[in-house]
Amino acid sequence: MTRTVKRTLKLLLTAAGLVVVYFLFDRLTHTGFQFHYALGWLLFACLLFLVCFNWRKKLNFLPIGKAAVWAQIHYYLGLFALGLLLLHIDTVWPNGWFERLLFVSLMISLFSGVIGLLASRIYPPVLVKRGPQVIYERIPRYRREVRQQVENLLTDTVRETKRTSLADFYEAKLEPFLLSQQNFLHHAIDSPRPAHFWRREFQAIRNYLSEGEQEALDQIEQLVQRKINLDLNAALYQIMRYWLLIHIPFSYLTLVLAMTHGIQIEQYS
Amino acid sequence: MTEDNTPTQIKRPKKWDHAFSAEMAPDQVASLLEREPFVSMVPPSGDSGTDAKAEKVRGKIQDILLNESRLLNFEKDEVIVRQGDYGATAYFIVSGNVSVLFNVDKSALGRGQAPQKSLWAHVKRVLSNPSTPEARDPEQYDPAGATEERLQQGVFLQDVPRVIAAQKYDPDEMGPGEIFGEIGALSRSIRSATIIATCKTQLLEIKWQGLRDLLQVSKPFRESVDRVYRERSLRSHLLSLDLFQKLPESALQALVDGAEFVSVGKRDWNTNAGDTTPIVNEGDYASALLILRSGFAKKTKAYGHSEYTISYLSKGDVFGLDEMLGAYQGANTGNSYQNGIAALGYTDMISLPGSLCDKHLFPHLEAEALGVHINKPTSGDPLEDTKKNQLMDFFVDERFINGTETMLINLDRCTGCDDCVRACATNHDNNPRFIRHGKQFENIMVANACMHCADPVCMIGCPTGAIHRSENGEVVINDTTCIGCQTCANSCPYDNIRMVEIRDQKGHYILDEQMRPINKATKCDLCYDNPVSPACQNACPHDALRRVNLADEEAIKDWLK
Repeated sequence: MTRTVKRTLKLLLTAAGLVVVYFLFDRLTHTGFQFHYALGWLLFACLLFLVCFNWRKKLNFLPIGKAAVWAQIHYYLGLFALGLLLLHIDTVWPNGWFERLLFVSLMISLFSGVIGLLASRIYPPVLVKRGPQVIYERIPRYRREVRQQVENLLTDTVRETKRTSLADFYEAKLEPFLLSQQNFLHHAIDSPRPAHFWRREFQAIRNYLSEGEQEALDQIEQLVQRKINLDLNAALYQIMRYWLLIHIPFSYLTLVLAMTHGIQIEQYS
Repeated sequence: MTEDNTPTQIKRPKKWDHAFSAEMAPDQVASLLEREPFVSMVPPSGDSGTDAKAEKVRGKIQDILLNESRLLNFEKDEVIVRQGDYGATAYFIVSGNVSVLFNVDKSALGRGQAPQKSLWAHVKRVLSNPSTPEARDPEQYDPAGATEERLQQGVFLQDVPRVIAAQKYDPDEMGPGEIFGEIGALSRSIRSATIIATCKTQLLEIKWQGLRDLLQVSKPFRESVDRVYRERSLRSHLLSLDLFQKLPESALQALVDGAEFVSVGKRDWNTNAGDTTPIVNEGDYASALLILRSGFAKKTKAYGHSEYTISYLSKGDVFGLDEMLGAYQGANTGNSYQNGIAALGYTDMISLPGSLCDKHLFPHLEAEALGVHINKPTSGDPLEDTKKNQLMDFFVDERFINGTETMLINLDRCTGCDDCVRACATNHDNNPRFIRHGKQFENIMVANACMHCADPVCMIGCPTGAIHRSENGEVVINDTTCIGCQTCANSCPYDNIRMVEIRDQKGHYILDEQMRPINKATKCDLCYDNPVSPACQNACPHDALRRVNLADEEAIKDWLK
């Protein structure tokens, strides 16, 4: 069975689950069963289980199932929870400020999760295609190495040719680029613009360089390509890692707010 | 309150700090030296020159036996070694007798479980992990605290008459002075037979390092072990293959007698990992059936001006069967080898001449088996499935085919979240036992993690036997007996063993008498004693990491889909 078929089956199962819950709860309403109240607690149980995934990752020394299976349950249960939420609120914008806060928190948590999921599906093949891949923690070191190599090349070239055109180019344009991570947004959408920009810049300066300087420029161009790749790696890894900084705090906030909401309902309804 | 910053100092670990058995006494060794085969290992004395030589050899053997061996007692019908287990020791029979059995029902053997920690012990260990990496209790390295590692397992073979009756051939008996288990111990391979005691038996169990040292000390012993090794290895190896299991005794004996041993390349192939040596060229006259005993070979097919790799052969694989069966059945295609093979590093083979096979092997094969082999396609097109062929080339050229638990990472799924690395570190002294980096073919990365090789060359030079195979086949390091000599790390052709400087529980480095840090070799142990095994694979939320046997092409293909 291919992954697409498996994915379709899981989606159908999630939708079927929602339909079953809707009709079952709706049917029970005639017997005095409080539809929205029950849905709310079911939704809370789902949220609690969704947050458990974070704990599963921390307790990786316990035999509590593969993280890959947990992740699959997390994705589809998240979708199921969205369906429950829409049923719970009757697809109407909440009217109280507390309920609005809870809704917004849940939405941020949900959509940051969707962004994280999409990033984890889209970016790894991009990194393979663009290659070579590097370990995220080593990127600052590689970046320093690239800058050092460019500076060494420039020092040698200026000493040999007694001309400073390349050094001036470096100071004006290359140095800021080599000093830090650049073009985050371009890399986030896998845009070729950074590469095009530097190709154009190199073409422009090439006309004014001697033969010796042009040879050095060829090597600098390769190093700049490496730096572009390092920036791409850094940007994509940052998105793939740091979406969790939004997702996890808002998930816990949602859980706390939902519990408060439940207690309020228990207390005052 | 002031913090105690005094570094922990211990004696630098060295060979024989921890004897194989603390109970092995000099008088027991002296008594053994009066018996066969040890008495024959010492050259006969005569004049003063030979006397001195004999005394020197005797002294060496005494040291080896004192530190590398131990005496074990077995009751009648007690299982000594099980077929299929890994073992790094050989046994000399001191008194009593043993019987050699093949293909005994596993349920009758009481196969032991891996020494797995209980869940509670594991959780307690993880939770009490010091915050600094590679922290150890220095007391474990105190030689005085050495304890007997192996417990007498006391597994008895049930219903012995039935088991013996089920044997195809009469079981071989061995008596005092004889040695067994040396094949598995010296060749780093699984035990080829089950051995049981047939009466009250005393054995001298010797580590393979001790056996290796004895072989170096005594030429007559070396010659006798070589002879026995060849005889037993050949017979048991043939019997382990499906092709030979239904042969009558006379035919099997004829094949054993007529077989030739062929070795190509160097056995310590890790020093020349890139070498390939042709064994058979495509189109050569198919004169013999070749069976791989150890090592690897690549099977190639000519294409254009070059050749491509169809597959690789490992222990137990047979080459040339289709061609020879073709010739036997009078087919036109059967006179020359349809493919070539080349040794990857080194290859040991058994060669069975065609005339011998025609007379003693093929007439006994069932028609069904003949058909399967005759109809098997022997060639393909390298351009038909380029990814599959290039992937095969990648695995073969980089020698990854040696791995039985290779860590593959599907880079199309890996997000670099490092959950695998963290899980490994949690389970191993706060320091991961692998690097999430390695050689890459398109979207497949072979990470720098121990592959638990079919042929673990890292074990060859270990002076203490600290690196060994567990009963279930994982290659593991005994931290207590590792002396930090780096031999294994230098021998691993894949750079998958790392030396670490160890600390005490307060985070201070443990130093020796000269204030130099104590090193230990570390590597992936496949979490063999943990309830979560392997932790890296279990922790990956994207199913991007798998431990795979590279011989299992279908499983890899399914996972990559």
